[in-house]
Amino acid sequence: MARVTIEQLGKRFGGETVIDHVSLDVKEGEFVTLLGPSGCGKTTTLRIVAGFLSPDTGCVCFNGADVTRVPTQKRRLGMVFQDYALFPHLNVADNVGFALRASGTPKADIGRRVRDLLALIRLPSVGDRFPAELSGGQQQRIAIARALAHTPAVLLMDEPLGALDLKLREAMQNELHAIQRQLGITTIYVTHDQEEALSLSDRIALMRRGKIEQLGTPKEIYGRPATPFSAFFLGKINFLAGKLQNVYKNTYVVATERGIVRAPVRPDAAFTVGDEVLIAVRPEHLRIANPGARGDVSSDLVNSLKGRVLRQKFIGKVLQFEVEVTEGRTFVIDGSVDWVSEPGSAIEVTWNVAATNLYPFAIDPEIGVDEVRTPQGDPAVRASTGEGRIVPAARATA
Amino acid sequence: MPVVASFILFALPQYFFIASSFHENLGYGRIGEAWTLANYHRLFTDRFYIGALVKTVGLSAASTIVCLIIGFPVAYMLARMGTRSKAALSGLLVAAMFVTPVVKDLGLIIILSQSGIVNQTLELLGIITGPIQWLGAEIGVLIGLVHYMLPLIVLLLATVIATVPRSLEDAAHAHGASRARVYYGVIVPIVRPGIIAAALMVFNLAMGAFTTPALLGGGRVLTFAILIQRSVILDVDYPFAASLSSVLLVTVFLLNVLAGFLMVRQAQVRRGRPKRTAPPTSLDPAVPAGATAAVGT
Ligand SMILES: Nc1ncnc2c1ncn2[C@@H]1O[C@H](COP(=O)(O)OP(=O)(O)OP(=O)(O)O)[C@@H](O)[C@H]1O
Ligand SMILES: [Mg+2]
Repeated sequence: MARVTIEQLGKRFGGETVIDHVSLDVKEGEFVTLLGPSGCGKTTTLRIVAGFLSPDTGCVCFNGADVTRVPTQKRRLGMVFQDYALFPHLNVADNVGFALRASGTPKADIGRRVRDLLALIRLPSVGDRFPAELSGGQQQRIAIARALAHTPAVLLMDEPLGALDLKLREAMQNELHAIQRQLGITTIYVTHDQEEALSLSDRIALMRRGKIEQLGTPKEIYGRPATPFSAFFLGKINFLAGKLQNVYKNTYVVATERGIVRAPVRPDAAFTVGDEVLIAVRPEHLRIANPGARGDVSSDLVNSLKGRVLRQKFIGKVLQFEVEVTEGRTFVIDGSVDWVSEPGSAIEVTWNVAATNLYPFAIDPEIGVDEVRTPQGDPAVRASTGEGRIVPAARATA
Repeated sequence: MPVVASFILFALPQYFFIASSFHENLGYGRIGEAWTLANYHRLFTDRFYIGALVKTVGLSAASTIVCLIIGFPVAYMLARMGTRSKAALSGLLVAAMFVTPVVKDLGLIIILSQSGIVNQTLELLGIITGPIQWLGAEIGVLIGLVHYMLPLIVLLLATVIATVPRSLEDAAHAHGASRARVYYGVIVPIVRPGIIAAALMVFNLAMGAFTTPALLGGGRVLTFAILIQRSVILDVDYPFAASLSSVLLVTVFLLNVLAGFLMVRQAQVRRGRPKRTAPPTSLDPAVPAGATAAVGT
């Protein structure tokens, strides 16, 4: 077991910065996930920790000792690869015992350990089969057993469940979680699957363009995303652009194209009147009300926007409503199946002020924030074509 | 059709020369009518011919081994190169492969001669006192054969090594394997069938090589190919040349079959007992993962 510290890592590939000052401290026995969109540098970071790549700047420490120049084979790692990378010429027992043989463990000990591990991954009878004779999920578990056989100081996993179907992946997630807890091995896990990250991790390092965008527990990042990108990437989010009009009783009052939206003042983000802001609210916090049906709709604690139901979509546990709040912009609302709102009907979208997040406005097409027009009508950013649909409310799905 | 065509192209001439090896030589290129084993009797009772056969096999095997030893690391580097330098180098190798051995051997004759650059350098370094007689000796032929076949074996090996995913090497390193262990414990065993196939191709080429032993052997290294040429051109003894050829052919054929047999045998041994029909073990939700044996240390 080791504490892994990476400090100010930097890596360039042919003039392009792939890792940009990444720092991360993984405590002993902790499960940290590197999460982010494709190409953000997750694998590169992991390969630097493993020692397959050497960083241009910064260092990697295991238990406080600098291992940046220590060759991979001396780092006491366990590693699970996306393509499993089982040795095709060795049978399962020899695959699992590979690290033990490399370290010169006596044969009898290896045999015992391999048997224990195969029992742990619940494949006790496949020892003398070859990897090609196993299913994908079984190979996956063998790969995990191989990575654990020598009780590594650090376990590194690069999208190990990527190739599995949904059911198997869920089962493997549970198993992985249980095994990691049981053995208490420091683990760095790479995935671009947000649900996997949320359910497995002690902490998540959300990466974007070679930087860590936010580092925190799954609850922290999901509940209080520090940036619009965090909000976008973990879970679903609705954005609406506006301009800060007033600060009133610990509440920001934001003018949008379709009316006033309130947001709580939070210590970590301060805005001044006149700032361009981005309002963010999660689909599960939104409710649908018939216009004028309820008295509390216009109270100080509840935001409401007029809208029209565009369509509803049944996606299993919730009924998803797409509501047009202004021309060309839709909010996604997670409703329940017993809500009756026919497409085309005029409704009001309401949500608690406390569930509203505010961010400084910045154009970011990747998360669906393109351009803005302030409610007064003066274009902050001019659209190159058309005039109508300028303030986007993006729906983000990961 | 293709079967008939290949039969006419390959089997028929083989049949004629093999058949002619069972007839008597009447001199001046004429062949007797009667069937006889005299040619084979002469071949197998003369120490000279048996020795030549052993020498041919030995030289071919030695040059194949040297080719493998030099070629494998080169092939490995080639296989793991970036695409662009890989394409450039492969192109060069293909070009080198198609340079006729006459030209290649000429170059070797120049640098291996008494006062050639190799002898000069060795003398200058004080490794030898007098020049080494490379030419007209087995060692020269060996060098020539290796030089002739190296591009081919490098290309063949690089192709098979490139099929080994990099992640296998990474996995081996990550789990504590040294560089040497990755080589001999992972890459070589995985590409072993490819290595054997490449080695056989090169070996067969060497068995039949004529130009190199003729030019670098200087008439003193008598391989089977040379003996065949001599009995055709100098002795005009077609039946005996045919029997030499048949023996060469059968030897090569048998050695290849033997290699193939050993390969299959080895694969079976590695597999252990024959495959059983093990029940597919599935994820059983009834057994919680936490309930299984603890293996932490
Ligand atoms: N060997 C390399 N040479 C040049 N560029 C590279 C190399 N390896 C990675 N890159 C670049 O570095 C960036 C980050 O790659 P990396 O593999 O770390 O992404 P990732 O976050 O793992 O993505 P994914 O989720 O798709 O696996 C990419 O833009 C990629 O093109
Ligand atoms: Mg990756």
